[in-house]
Amino acid sequence: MNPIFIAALSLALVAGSAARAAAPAASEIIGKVLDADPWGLAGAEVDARVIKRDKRNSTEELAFHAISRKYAPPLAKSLVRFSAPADLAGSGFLQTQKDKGDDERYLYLPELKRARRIAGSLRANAFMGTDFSFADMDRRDLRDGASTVKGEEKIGKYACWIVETTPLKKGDSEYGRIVMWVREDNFVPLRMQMFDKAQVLLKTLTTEEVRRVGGTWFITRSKMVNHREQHQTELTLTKVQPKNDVPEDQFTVRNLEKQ
Amino acid sequence: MMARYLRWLLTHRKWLLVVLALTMGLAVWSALHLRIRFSVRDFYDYPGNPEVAVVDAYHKDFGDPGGFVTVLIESKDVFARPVLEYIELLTHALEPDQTFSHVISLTNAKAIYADGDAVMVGTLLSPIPADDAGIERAKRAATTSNLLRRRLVSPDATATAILAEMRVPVAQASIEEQGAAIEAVNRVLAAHPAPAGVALRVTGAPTIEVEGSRLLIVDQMVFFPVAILIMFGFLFVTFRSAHGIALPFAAVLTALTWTFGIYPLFGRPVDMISSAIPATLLVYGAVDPIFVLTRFLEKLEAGLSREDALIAAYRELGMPCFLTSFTTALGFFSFATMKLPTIANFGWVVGIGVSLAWVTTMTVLPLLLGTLPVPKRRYAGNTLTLWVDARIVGFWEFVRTRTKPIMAITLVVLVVGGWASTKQLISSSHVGMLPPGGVREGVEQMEKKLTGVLRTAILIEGPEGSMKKPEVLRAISRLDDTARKYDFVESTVSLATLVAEENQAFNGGDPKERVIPKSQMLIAQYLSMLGPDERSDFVDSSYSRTHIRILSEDTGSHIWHRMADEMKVAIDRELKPLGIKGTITGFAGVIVPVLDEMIVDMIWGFFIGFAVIVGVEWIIFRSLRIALISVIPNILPALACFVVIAIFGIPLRIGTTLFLSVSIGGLFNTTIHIAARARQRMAEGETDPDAIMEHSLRKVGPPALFTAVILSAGFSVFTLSRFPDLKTFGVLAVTVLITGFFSDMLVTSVMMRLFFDFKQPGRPAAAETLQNPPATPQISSAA
Repeated sequence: MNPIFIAALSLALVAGSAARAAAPAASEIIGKVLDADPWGLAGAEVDARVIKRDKRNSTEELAFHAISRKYAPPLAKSLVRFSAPADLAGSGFLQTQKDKGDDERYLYLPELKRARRIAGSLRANAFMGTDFSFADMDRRDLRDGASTVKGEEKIGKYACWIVETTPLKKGDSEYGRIVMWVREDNFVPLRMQMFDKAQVLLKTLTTEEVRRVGGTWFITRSKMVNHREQHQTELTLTKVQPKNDVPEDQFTVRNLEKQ
Repeated sequence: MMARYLRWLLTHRKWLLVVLALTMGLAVWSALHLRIRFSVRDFYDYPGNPEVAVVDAYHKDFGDPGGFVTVLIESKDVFARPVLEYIELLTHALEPDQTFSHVISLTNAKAIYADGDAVMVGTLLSPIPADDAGIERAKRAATTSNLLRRRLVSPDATATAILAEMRVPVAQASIEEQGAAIEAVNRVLAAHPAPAGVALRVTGAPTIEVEGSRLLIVDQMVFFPVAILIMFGFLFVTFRSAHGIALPFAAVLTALTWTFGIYPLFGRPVDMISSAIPATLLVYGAVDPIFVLTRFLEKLEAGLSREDALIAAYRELGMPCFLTSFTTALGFFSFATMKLPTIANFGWVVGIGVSLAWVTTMTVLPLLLGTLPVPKRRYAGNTLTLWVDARIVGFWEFVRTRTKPIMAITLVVLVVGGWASTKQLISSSHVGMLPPGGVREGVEQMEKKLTGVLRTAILIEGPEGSMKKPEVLRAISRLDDTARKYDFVESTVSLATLVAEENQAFNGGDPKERVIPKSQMLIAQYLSMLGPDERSDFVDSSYSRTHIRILSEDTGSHIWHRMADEMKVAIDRELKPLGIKGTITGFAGVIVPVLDEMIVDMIWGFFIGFAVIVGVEWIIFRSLRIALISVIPNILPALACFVVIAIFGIPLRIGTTLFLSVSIGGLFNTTIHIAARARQRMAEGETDPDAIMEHSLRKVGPPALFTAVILSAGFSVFTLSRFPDLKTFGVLAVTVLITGFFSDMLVTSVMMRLFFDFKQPGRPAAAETLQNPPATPQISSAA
């Protein structure tokens, strides 16, 4: 065999191995994604607009203001207050993530005039009628699941790692598998596919716009499509500010009940 | 003319046999495309039905609660931990199967209820609580929730269900896809045996369709061979030769093959109604060839050459065969005018089949008679004919002296039958159509423990946002209550139910708070908590369309109509003043009225066919008197059946009403023959009415008896059906044919004797010239 060919082949193999070796471990990627918090769910102040669109293309809009802070990273507390539509204005939701056991959640409905603790296994439930479930918000599946790097792929001009996560707790998650395309340069997921337990694609979350604010990358426009329900939710962060100094007393039931 | 035709036929026999073989090949190829499908949708889905669009749109918006393969789980307490663990195991085992889009069970069903200060939201029992108190709380919540009780758990907690919703909706799924779904469930059950004390049963709409289709095929595998065996036996007794068996079979089977070659052109599957076609055609189609063969053998016996015997037999029987086939086909074609495709299809196919049977009697049979060797064994049917003849002489002697009492009895039967026919209970039942056995028992057990398969929906439509209004939800709640008054209603679920239960949950679980709140804002806030999948079960995203889902036991359509009628009044009372529209739809809303309409259609079809045949008689005999005389003896058998139906309390359903089509096909023939014979005798110069009638009865009686016996024996195969309605159809068909024979022999003869104009010599009519052929000419063999 031609020695030059053998040398070239060896170089190519070495280069390939080096490239693979350069890919961090799946847990590392997930950790960095959670730490980067591109959704603004842990340590940010956000104003957001949500458009829900059903299969008949009729739409419904929501608007909310959310504050959050990390209290035992990656765990966070968050408070969401709705301002639209009119009949939902003033409603609020307070969540404290827990490492073990259920997250603590309170819902304030202005007409009831006091907050109610929301308990039970609601991770598969939708968050305020959107296509985002509580499981999508608490990111526990990513935190606790078994992840592997499945390869690399470009989305647009951005090189991404493809990370596949299998939620650990059977029955607790609505998903059988989550596949995420994570930008290699800033750990922002550009696409997430959530498969049901029959491994049929259930939802796709697509990042449509990212912005760097105060050194943090945020997904400022995204779209979650529920393929089974032919329903979608477009989420736009109209204002986002990284902020990890929101006072602790903002995340109390008493504050939730203040309109 | 007949002689010329037969000679031409025999001269071109080789070419005709080639054409015959080609058409048979083509027909077999076409018939291979036939589908057998017991699909309830086939009963109501037809272009002219405006309800189909409504129900399809409804199902698209809110789903079909019947579209599940259901595992019914029974135990002393389905909330016992081992049972719950088993349910969870089965749920997890079914979830990965791509056949299903959702698997819902007690362990993953979503619920909302109060637990102390907390509002419990999410899956009811996933994960299964570690403490028994948690299970007890979930049990209390499930058995008291109108959203879950009866739908997923029995009120006494001894039964629950795992609902596996097919990814391809049941309404669109093929039998194979539904069978695969059932198989998938059975595989999981086989891999995970139930713990002690737990009984399992696979049921649900797909099992009904799959098992129904399988049993239709099983029925066919019984009907057809048994009908052939009966024909075989009859032909053997009559002819005692292979020739005598093979030739009528060849003629009728050719007609049958042609018919089933044409069938796929109608674009419909073989369903429960059309499954009766093969045996019906086999029976009707065999009669004419038997008579032609008999007459042919008689002529041979009389010393004619084969060709002469053939021509003589056809000269005598060609027109009667045409006439009886024509009236029979006409009777069936009258069903083709019905708007329901399954009935119209039945009418078309049987009408065409009867016509083709006449064609084969006129083509295939003479070709074979003229081609195959003449049997060595001589015709032995005469002995039987002579015996029947002797009985008829005695019979007429008895009848002619008692015409008035017989007429009086006839009138009584007419009045009683007429009264009975007005007292018929039209009551379709979806479950009642099912054959006894596992599937039906499963459905009945589901009805007993959880909910029935009858799904009625009230589609409620109004302006955008109207479904959040308290007054609208309260009106819906009152409609719920109206439906719940009926014992056969097992569960009603609506947006009002959901909002009331949310209100209760947010008010500490106080039962008094299971009401619609007064504040529209609060209702909106409750509803905002629902995800797209949950909300789409109840209301559309613009809050302009919602529904009430009523699940009930299938106790017959007459009871359902009572509820539906009251619901219509309640809709007008509750919703109209609010500017909201309510429409009764859903599976029951579309199928029940259609099934009942189909029955009414069949009754109308019978009367239309009856009138058409009476009209044809008027034309062919050129006598209104004869046409009118034929009405009473031919209506009597149908009325007799109505009396039987009334006595045994049989509700009129599609299958049971099918006997009317047999009446149309099987009646009138003997009346036509008797009238034709009487006029022939008069034309021959006989003037004594008694002698004319005796002659007519003696000539027509034996073949009429043979026909009645053949047809009755043939239709008796339906009593072997697995489907109760087809079984009843068999009994009623035999009843109508036997009573038809006696009615003709007794009532027709008496009415002819009393009302026929014996003084006026018979005018030439089509029927007479063919019943009274000129003397058989001696024709030399063409060979």
